[in-house]
Amino acid sequence: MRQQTFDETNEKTNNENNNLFFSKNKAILIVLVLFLAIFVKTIYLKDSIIPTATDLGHHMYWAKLISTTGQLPNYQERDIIENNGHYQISAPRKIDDFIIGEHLIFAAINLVSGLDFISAFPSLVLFLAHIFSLLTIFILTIRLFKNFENDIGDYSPILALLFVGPVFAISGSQAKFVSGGVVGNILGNLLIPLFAYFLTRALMEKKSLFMALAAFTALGLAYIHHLSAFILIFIFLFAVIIFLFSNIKRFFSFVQDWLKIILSWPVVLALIFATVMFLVYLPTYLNTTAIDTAVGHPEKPTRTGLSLPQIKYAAGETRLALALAAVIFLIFSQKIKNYPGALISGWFLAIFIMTYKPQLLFIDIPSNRIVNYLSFPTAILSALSASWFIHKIKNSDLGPAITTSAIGLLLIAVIAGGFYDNSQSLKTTTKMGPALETFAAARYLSDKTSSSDIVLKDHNYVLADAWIKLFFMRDYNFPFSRGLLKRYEDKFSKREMCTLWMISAPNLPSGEKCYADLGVNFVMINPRYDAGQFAKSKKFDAVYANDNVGIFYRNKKQ
Amino acid sequence: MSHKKIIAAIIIFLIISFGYLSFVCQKKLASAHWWSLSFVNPTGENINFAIDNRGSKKDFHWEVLSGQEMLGKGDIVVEKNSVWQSQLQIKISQEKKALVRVSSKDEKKEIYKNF
Repeated sequence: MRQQTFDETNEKTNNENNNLFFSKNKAILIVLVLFLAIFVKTIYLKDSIIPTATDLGHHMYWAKLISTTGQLPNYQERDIIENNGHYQISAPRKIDDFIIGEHLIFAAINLVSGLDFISAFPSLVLFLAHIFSLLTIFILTIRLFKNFENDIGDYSPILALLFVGPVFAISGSQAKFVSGGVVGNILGNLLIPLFAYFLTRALMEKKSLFMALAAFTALGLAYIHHLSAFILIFIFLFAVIIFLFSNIKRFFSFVQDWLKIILSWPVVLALIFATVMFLVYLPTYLNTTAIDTAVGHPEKPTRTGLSLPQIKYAAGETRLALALAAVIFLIFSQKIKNYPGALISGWFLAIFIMTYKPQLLFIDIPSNRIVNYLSFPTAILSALSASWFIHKIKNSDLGPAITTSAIGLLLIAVIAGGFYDNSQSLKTTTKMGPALETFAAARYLSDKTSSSDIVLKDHNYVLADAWIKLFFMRDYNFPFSRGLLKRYEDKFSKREMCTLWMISAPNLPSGEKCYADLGVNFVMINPRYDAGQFAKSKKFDAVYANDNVGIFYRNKKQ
Repeated sequence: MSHKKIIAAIIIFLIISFGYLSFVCQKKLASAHWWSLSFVNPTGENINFAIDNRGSKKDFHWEVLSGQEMLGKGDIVVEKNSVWQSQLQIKISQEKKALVRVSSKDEKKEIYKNF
């Protein structure tokens, strides 16, 4: 038998000590899972790759503004207001919802490549960020559980990748958010696990460089998505509280360890950089008004928390059950005292409580937005549960047939729900043809109008209407828009009614007054739904018609 | 197996996926099945109109009416991805409605101006 050389033995030992070395079978499994994840998401995205999403249209306006002006934008918009019974267009007002980090990357790609915003590239950028977030979950899981029993440390990363990649691949914060253009959430879903990864390595390996990277990642998140940054604060607080509570006797010694890591040049430099950034350009949402809207006692029904069935539906029933079992396992095995245990439990519990009982934490944010953040910690914890189960079953006295069946049943229970969810999402397809007609109509109108013309469009029945503003680039709120009809009935937030009256009832006194006061002279609507009320009046000329968009001009001759 | 091979596999999958999605997007942007009718000057008194054809139908029939009176009509061929503009020299009487009606097989569109 050939003896291994010293070099070969050395290489084998090095590989085994390397966390990113996998046996051939495991590597094939990882590649297969990733292939499946990318494949399912690609099949879904092929039917929604043409830009139509409202959120993405809003974000691309700002990205195009940066690209065309070469300057950071002033996030503001003009609105319709009422002043002593007279309607007028306001001066530009600040918008708190947008942050520079959501738009710079798209502007940069447009500037460098010349790619048009109305193309696949925005969705592909989000898709890439999403795939990176899955890979981050994978390497985070490796680091979190590498000191657990052999089987758990080996299986849990691959299972986490399986439970977050091809399973539940589309719904929630996955491919649907990519096609929906929920930029901040997608980037937040990348940076939250990345922060957790750097923090884990900083604390477990006592390396201040990783702590600096964690601080830098958190800073980046503050400039990219306010909701994700807000949630990160709670994740961090919950993790710290759980850790300190579990290690109360060694509280001071841990604090000393942390201070040693924090009071180091890399971290101090990162904090100085963060301070300078805040002084130069403070994120627009950091003001009392914006903070007041997110913090407080929730009153709207959409903000008072989701029921357990709703949370089960969002997170996946079996995944959620396994995740809760994992938290119990961490508590009873005392592993919650360790950094990984405290971090992943804190991450899960923070979001679970924010979703289920937000009033306990004075959270006043739509609960269905927060529940989207549950999928990643649930996937990691359910992978831990499943790995622990596999480890126990394999080391038991049950025969191979029962062992294999038990493991198979467990995996089927998780995967079946996820693939069923995928199949439901794949059934719904977006018709992209009408979007092209919207773009053509917008191009026509932008060519034929001047800065003195005021345009109104409809959001309810004109597809891809949020992208019309990219053809005008006059204001974020131009053209003005008749919003979702139910929003005009919202008793919690009073809205101007002109945009509703001018399309729904243009011939009634209320609509006519709005036209007279505001000077709106062009209206874009879907003729299948809204042409009738304009056709009845001699005050409107029908100047453009395609299958899905009609443009009316309010002539001054009548 | 080294992680480099896994990374290489991911890169290959992403290149294929992105390439496919870009191709699908370009194809859908280029393939359309609609046509539009519009006034060349939407705000003035000129009633010249344009047909922008993005579909496979090429044959169009147009008519211009003022009230019940036929002011002009014709048959034209507009190739796919091209725009045809009328060159009418028609004056519309006041307090009449100028209607432009264009049809192609079973599809019909109308635009009008109130004078």
